[in-house]
Amino acid sequence: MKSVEIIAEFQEARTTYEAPGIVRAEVSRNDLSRIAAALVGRHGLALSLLFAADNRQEKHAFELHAVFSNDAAHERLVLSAEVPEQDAWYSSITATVAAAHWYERYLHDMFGIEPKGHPDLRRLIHHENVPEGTFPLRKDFAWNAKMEHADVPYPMQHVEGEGIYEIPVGPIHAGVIEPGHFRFNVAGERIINLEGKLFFTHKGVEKILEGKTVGEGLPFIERLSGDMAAANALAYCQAVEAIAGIEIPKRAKMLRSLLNELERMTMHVHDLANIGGMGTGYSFVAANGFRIKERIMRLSARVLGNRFWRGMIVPGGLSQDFTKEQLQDILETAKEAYWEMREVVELALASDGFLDRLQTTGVLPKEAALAFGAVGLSARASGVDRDVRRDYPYAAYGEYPMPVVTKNTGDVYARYKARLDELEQTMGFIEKMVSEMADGEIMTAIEIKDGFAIGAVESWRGEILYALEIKDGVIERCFPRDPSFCNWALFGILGPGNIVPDFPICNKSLNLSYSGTDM
Amino acid sequence: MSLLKLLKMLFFGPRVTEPKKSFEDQEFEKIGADIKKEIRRLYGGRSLRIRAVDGGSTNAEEIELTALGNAYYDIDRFGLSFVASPRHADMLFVTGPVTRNLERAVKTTYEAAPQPCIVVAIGDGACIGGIWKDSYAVVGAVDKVIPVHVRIPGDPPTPTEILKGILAALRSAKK
Repeated sequence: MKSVEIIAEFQEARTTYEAPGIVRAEVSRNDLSRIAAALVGRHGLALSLLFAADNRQEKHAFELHAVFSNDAAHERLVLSAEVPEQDAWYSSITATVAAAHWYERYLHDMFGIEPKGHPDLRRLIHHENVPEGTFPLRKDFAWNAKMEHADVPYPMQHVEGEGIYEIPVGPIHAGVIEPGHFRFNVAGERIINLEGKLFFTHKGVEKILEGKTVGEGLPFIERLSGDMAAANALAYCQAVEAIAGIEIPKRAKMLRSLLNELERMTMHVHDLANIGGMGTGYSFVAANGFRIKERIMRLSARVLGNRFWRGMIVPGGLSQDFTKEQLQDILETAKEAYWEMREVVELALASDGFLDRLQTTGVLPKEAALAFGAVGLSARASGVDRDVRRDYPYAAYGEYPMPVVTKNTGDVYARYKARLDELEQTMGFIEKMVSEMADGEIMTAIEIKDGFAIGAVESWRGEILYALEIKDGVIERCFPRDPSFCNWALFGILGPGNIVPDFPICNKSLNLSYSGTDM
Repeated sequence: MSLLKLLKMLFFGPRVTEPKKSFEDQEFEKIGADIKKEIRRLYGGRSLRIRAVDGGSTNAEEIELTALGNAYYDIDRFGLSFVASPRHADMLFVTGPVTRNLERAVKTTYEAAPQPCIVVAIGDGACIGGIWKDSYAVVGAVDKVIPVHVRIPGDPPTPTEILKGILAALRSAKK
């Protein structure tokens, strides 16, 4: 069903904008939650994004935008509501749509907007040190403000009872990984409740981006999450190009897809090695996998001058082209990496001890994945058939479709196998891109225009969404939504019931970004 | 795998490892050998233990630190290894611009490490605050929180640059 037809069912909603792929409608702050519930419950749309903007100067109000994905029609439906400055509340969406719960706590912290009726409105992004009444995303808050050091409580979930005890872990972990704090409430070895405290690496990127030109913003975007530079840059540039209304040359599209798949290959190889090796103690897989990953990183250094697939994707196209020899180098290195990794993983999968650790561990039921708005590979491994590359084709994926890999069991094994299958698809795609690479330009002249657009990319982790508004030639508001932001909540579901020593393998099987979430 | 198949693979199968010369990096080996010597001079022993702390990085630095353990670099050969507790550490690696939310964690980690502890700031963020410097959420370079002895700039520094930095740190340290 088309989004306009859906929205026509609600008399309270007024359609304000219609373009291919996007429909926007205005609703009142009282109706928002009810319509959202109907869109998700009755029409099966997914809540993909909820964010606010400060428009107090012009309208004495905050703007609230909820983005729903209408996969079947390949459209995004944006519901916008105004929240008056003096009386900043609206009726909470979380009460009926669980996927909204982090977004609403986020709004509460960053804008001071109250979602009335939210079941759990504790602090999310602000730690103890942030004083009460600090709202960094309001326009009157300076990006370089110096704040006092406060000591506001940051309560976490806690279970009490005979024989139940609590294990606090982090933020500084035993391994070389990112910082996060986890509380395990356990009875014996088994996890009863698990909650994470994140946003340790919060650097204020969203605020810094305000007032920057598109070009000035790009370095921050490429450094949101070190392991996802190409995908983030692509989503950002797509939003910029959508606002400018330009189409990039075919060669640029193909090279962009190629880069994205190379990034996917790098990280899938890493994850196969990390889950299989470091997660289970089967060090043969890790030793070989990391060696193979290093070769792909060196390939990036050879063709781009850095090891992280950075610097090539820019608004309007690409900053550099690949020569025939470079493309050949990419193909050969990728092929070798793929076949070797396959061989290593197949040996591991022949081991019963290895399978015992993966199978039935960390099960994420499909219902939970849908309810919490899980995205990407982790959702597909639980049977959620969604993939931006198919549902909202971008770059070269329209012309060269990618088959979507789904699994049904939702355990660590399903996520492991999904990575292996995706790696195969990616290899085939890289071959196709190199052999059928179009000739021609790699840049379209771009004139930055004012407006609003959504950029979406299926990164190796999952759907990245950028809500970007440009005003007077500079960024007015940019909300980059990392797939990890949606998937962190899943730990509360897939953790309990498992034993504590299995948590690391559950964690590695999701491989979420702290930096990308914390921004 | 049947025995016959195994034997067949062992004798007639494709190569499963790479000959050392195909990836040996002379420069890297030289730095490693020098580090080994410095460790002996400083500590009279054979090993140096490192505790890595993420002070707010983008995880690119962590990727490179992890890479130091892969077969191409394998820093364990030179007596270097990452440890799980600061109590066991001779050296502290700190990455990222230190964020407000991690300031206390970085400080406590430093306090928990036995002295003398060599502190190395890894990456532009850790050295000067990087592109996020002055943000409301960021404290700044690592030296705003704890004393820093050596800085390894880079965005992020490559594994070889990190190893060079370790050597410089050891050379500048007094016995």
